[in-house]
Amino acid sequence: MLLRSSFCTRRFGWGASLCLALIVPALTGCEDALEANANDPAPDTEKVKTLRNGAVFSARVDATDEALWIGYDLDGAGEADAATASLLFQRSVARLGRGVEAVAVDIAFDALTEAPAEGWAFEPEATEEPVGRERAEGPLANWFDYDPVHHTLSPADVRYAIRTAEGGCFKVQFTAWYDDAGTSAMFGFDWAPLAGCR
Amino acid sequence: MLAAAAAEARAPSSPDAEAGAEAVLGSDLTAVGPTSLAVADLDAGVRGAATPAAELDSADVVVTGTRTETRFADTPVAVEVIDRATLEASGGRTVADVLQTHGNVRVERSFNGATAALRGLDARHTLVLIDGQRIGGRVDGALDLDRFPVEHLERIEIARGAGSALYGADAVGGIIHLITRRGRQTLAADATLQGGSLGQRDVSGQVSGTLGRLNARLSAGHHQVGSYRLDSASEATSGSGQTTTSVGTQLRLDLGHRRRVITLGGEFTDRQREAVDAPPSGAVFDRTQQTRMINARLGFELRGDGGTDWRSHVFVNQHDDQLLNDQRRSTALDSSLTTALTLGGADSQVDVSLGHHRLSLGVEGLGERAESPRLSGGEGSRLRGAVYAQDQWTLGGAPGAAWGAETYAVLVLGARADADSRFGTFASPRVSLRIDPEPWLALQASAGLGFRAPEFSEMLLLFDNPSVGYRVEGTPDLGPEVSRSVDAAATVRPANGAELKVGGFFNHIDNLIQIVAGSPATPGAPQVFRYANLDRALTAGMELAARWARPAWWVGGTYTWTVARDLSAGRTLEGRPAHQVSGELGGREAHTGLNLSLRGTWNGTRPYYLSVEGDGDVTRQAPAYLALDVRAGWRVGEHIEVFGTAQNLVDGGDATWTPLPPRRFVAGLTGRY
Repeated sequence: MLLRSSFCTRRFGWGASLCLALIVPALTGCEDALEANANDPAPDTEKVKTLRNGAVFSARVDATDEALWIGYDLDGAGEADAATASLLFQRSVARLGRGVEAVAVDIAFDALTEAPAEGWAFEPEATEEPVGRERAEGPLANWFDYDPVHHTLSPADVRYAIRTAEGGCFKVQFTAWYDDAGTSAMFGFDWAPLAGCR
Repeated sequence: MLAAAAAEARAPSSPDAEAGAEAVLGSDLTAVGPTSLAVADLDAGVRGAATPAAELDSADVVVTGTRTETRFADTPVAVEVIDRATLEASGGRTVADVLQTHGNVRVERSFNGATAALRGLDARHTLVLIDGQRIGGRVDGALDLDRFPVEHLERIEIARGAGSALYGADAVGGIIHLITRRGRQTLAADATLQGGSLGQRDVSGQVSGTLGRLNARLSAGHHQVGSYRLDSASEATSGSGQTTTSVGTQLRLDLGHRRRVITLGGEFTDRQREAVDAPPSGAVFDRTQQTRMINARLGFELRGDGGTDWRSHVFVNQHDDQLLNDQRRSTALDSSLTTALTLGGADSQVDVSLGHHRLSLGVEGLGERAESPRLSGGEGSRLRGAVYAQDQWTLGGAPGAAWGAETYAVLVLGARADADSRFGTFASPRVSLRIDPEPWLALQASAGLGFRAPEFSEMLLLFDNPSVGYRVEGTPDLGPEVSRSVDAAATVRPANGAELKVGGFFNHIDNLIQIVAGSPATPGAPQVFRYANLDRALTAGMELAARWARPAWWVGGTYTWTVARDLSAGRTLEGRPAHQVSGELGGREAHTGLNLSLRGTWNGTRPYYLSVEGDGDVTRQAPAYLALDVRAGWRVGEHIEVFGTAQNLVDGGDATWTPLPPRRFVAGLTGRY
């Protein structure tokens, strides 16, 4: 809902507005700036949230800022700075942190219990430093499907095994890019530890 | 459209511009016929291309075809007229409403409002004028005709085909010219009150009169209608709710000597539109758009005794707009966009009669400025100057000759040169010929160049979409789109009150401005799209119109067959129906004061192309639809008429392709003094 502007027609009624408009149409002095609903909840200032549901963690990352990379640490189950993060997010781009490897696997999330033996890859050197609005070219580049008709993104049907710089292995599945209010760049993903590492 | 009824309705000595409106109330049975099918009137008695303008009454003339006041019967360039009587009988509240059921006009409704396109071209190829002056506030190159309530208007003139030789940029497919009402010779007033479904409530009226040398008209209206939703599964509305308050005036001061006239006119409109958008992302937005528009015009006319007339005008219009998108349950995507557009200009034209020639020479200057955060640098401006010349050469049929005395023939040669601070210069010639070999037959043909000037948004846009990783940039050195147009028509009048018109048209357009992919995305830079003069298109077709009008009833219809090809892509242009049919039927009964009219337009299927994953497009055919309006009125006493209208009676349109307002019923009354 919108707070109605204090439009002349609403402030004075239409009859009086006609007179005002006729006499001094450009100088009625009515405040006509439209304003958004002040009762809407303000954006959450927490960039990263993690909920635990048994062995599975559900993370929500606010990557709406066009200039800011938001880091997520799988070992610590929370926000991290860009230098130590396992995963980095900015708008529609998801990439690996420094020293982190990943491999896409075609196994259902629940059935994936052990880290794959091969196929691991680091983030390419060109995108190792998270600068600008580059499109990801690394192992996570195809995390989403793009609908060209509706111009929407949705998580691709793919799971990732991720090995952090500390040697921990995890499985990750992206679940959302929009939040409940439809705001984009609100990454949602489930993750859980994998056996076979460290 | 044929104007047989109009010929009878408009006696040359009509007392004032309100004659048509009075006819609706039945004061003159012969005046009931709407003129919406009118072409050059074949039955208006005395004709002559060089008829001194001073002798013309405003109800008898058209101005759009030749940029000079020309008797409707004489105009060498076909002009359709929707007169005041038809505006009222249509039940439409805005110009868009009226044109929705008008033949050979394609009205498209979208987020940006309702636009009108002619001859298979885009709405951005239609020039819209008000009292001869341009109107600012185009969005994506087209003007929202829902902005203009009809209470200020005397008539709408439609001239099809390239008109750039007289009017310059944007008159490619044709011109829709809004002519405002003049004050009456005696004190007069009218008011209309109506309301109905969809939350529609309207009150409008005008008062006018003459005091000494001053003739004045003041008109005003307040209109409300609610938003509507055609897809019950979506929270999104299909059409905006709209509240419009508008005031207009025209003051004419006759200085007497040599019929010098000063005219001051203008409109102030305050409009708020409200809608709900629900994009596929799941977000829901309350969209509010507040627009304030001021048009002001000052003119000076000198009508000499020797057939030399001189007219000068200055005009300015200001268009301020604020668009607010308010996301529900969040403020993350709230946005507000404020745009200010200023358009002003001046022109001067002299018309000289030399024997069988009527020469018109004119000069024009135009300035335009836009302020918007979407423009590179936040603003843009341009200046344009133009000179034009036209010769209406009466080849046969001496000026003032009686009807049928001899073959009537008029050749019109015109040319114009525009110099624009953005795109440089452009020259646009035109030639038109009308020959009446018999009293019952008129042949008309014309050929000319037209052009559309690139918009600020096409030259200066800077739009980033980082979520998908692309940017759209304007191209400052864009050139104009250029059209070559030819049309021809024959009008036959087999019997009194009956007319049949057959015509064809052809337009070839080069340098169509399209968005093209520029540099691909690279690390550190998004994909860039730019505008370029690349595409070519053609439209061609055939128009049929028939009308038969008697004092107590009238019937008419049009059919248009259009071929519209995108020559670059090798496919039919999007959104154009190959077939369009319109019809009208009306009648009145003098003793009871009852009257009834039906107007409708049927549009055939239209192709649209949807992008899919990969390189290809999928073609979707939008279904055909019928827009039908019915109005019934009953005159009670001398001054009152009660009426009811059913708009979009058959619920034409659909949520996806043609979001017409749903069927609605309105009742009201009109009082006249």
